[in-house]
Amino acid sequence: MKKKVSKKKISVEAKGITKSFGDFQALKGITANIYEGEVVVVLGPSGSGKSTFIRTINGLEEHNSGEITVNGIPLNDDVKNRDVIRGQVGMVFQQFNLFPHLSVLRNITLAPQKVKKLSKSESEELAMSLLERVGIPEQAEKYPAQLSGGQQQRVAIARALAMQPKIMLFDEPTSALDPEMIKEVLDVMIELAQSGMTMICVTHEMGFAREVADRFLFFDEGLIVEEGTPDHFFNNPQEERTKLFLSQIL
Amino acid sequence: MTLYVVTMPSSLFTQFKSEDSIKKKLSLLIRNRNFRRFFIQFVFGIFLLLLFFYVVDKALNLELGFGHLSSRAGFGLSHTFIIDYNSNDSRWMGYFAGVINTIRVSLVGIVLATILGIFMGLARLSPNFLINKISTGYVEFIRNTPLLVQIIFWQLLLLQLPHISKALTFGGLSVWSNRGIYLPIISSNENGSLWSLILLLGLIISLILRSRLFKYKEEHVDLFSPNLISFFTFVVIAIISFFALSMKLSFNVPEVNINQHGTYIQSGGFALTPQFAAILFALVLYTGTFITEIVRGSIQSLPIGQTEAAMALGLNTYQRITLIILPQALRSIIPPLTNQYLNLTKNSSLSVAIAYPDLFMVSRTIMNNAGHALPMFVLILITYLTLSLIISLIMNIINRRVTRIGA
Ligand SMILES: Nc1ncnc2c1ncn2[C@@H]1O[C@H](COP(=O)(O)OP(=O)(O)OP(=O)(O)O)[C@@H](O)[C@H]1O
Ligand SMILES: [Mg+2]
Repeated sequence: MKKKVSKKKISVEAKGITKSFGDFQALKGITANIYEGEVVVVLGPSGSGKSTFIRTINGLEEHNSGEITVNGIPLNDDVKNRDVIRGQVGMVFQQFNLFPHLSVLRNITLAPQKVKKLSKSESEELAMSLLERVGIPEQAEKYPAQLSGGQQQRVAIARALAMQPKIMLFDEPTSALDPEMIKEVLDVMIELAQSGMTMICVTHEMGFAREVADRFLFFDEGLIVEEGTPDHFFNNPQEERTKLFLSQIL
Repeated sequence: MTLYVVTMPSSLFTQFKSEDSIKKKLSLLIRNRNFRRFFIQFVFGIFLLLLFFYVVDKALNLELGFGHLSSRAGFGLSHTFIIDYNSNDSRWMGYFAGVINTIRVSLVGIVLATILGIFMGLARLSPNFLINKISTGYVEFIRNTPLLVQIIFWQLLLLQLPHISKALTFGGLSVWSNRGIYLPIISSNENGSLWSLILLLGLIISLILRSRLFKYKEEHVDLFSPNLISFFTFVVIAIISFFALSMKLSFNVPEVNINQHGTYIQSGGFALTPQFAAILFALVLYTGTFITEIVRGSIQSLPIGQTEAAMALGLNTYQRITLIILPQALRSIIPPLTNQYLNLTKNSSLSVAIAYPDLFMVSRTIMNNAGHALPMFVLILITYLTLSLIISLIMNIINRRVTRIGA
């Protein structure tokens, strides 16, 4: 079941982004538009710059040149802009990165209280509804270390959603999970995609990609080598590098 | 590893009674794990006890008595704090004044070194070039030179300040001369200490009020500002008690005058003598470098993902440090921090090099006057041991609180 993507409203606009680490150029000029409500899956071999790309979108990595605009706001040296963008972009990491010294509930309510100034009861209500949504309301009082990997990642998703973001970034959210836990996380992501969230996902989960992706971006050596619909990629890839990569993971 | 005092299990005892031949009884005991542990411990314990009594017996022959400490001291002290002491008081009082001086420099030193260490530790991780390099330079320079040399250096430097006749005044606000540093202070009439006590109470009350109000506010939406209300409460308490005690406050600026004999007299202000300042500066700066490294190391050992997750959620730098980084780093900061507090306190005995009358310095004076060196040293060691144990105890309590949060 796919929902309609309005091709009109651009959520993330990236124009010629470059990024170097010392002498090494990880991004060599990335240009891409992500539309509101779209689910984009970013693919590519290890070291091709996938993580670096999505991390530039919320400013975790500073791009060296090029322009990034999120919901019409340019990501530049204006501190206020950066704050606003971070408030609108949620991120889920491979390693979950939950705060181990805080309970599950507190992990989720912290940012809404401190950044959005929600009251304690408001934020807890919100947190509980999100825990329901990711299917683990009974874990609210536990600490991250007491949860399984899959549960931790679901808490991490709930934590990001608690800031009511307009865009969600996922960087290989299931790569650190045992196989039997992957599905529970993907189910949450599928539900999120179907609810109309704009999502950019770095993932090699082809089942998930086939089910919800609107578009694929294929990265290699810091460039987008090929992009298109899942149909295009599964049935008719053009570039040699894409074919090689797909033959390895499919 | 669990340590336990080995006791004999009662089951062994019943078994022992049920065996009929002595030989069987013995082999039952010898082969039993618990009995072996018990036996070794028992023998060793007896040995220690005998050793103890032997040493005490010999020491008593050396007159391990403190009787002489009750007689008149006969020496004055350049620094006394809280208690009034003069040469007509007993040696006990002199010793006690020394202990107070040790506690004073250690306590102020611990507070300042901690503040310095936390700031420098954060600065060492700062991406800001200047801040980062200042911190690195500070650590490398101070940590790699001996503390005793630094103490004497600071005293030398402070004694290089101009003679009182040419004292630096920084716009008439303070007096910096080789007699010491005199800083402006607010002074009051005789009700001053009572008023400070009331202010302290007022502060505690308004802080409690503030946390209560914040709790209340979490449940209800922003109708008022807890900060403003509690501040207002404090101000009201301060003003009412001010007039009730008919307080008079004055800004006490130190000044230098010449009396009719042509000698310079400095008066007023809060005095930092060269001795106290030298030992304090040296202890704070020196211990601060180690605390800096502890703070830096603990923060660096946290996964970078913690910072990234906090940033991605939109928490600002201050919130990130206070809510995410420091609470986690604190768990690994506190145990080595305790060591630094102990070091600072013990290192304060180097005061003896610059004649700041800490407990060691005073004890030396007493020994010079009255002999009885051995008992005096026992007393000194017991005093430092007690101070150290108190610090450890407090830090253990704090540590338990910090590690209790989270799983
Ligand atoms: N902080 C950094 N310092 C130096 N080099 C880096 C840094 N981060 C990434 N790189 C390099 O940039 C390149 C792109 O890294 P990136 O993490 O974006 O790749 P990726 O496509 O996400 O790969 P993977 O599938 O392994 O996660 C890699 O060669 C990596 O070594
Ligand atoms: Mg990656």
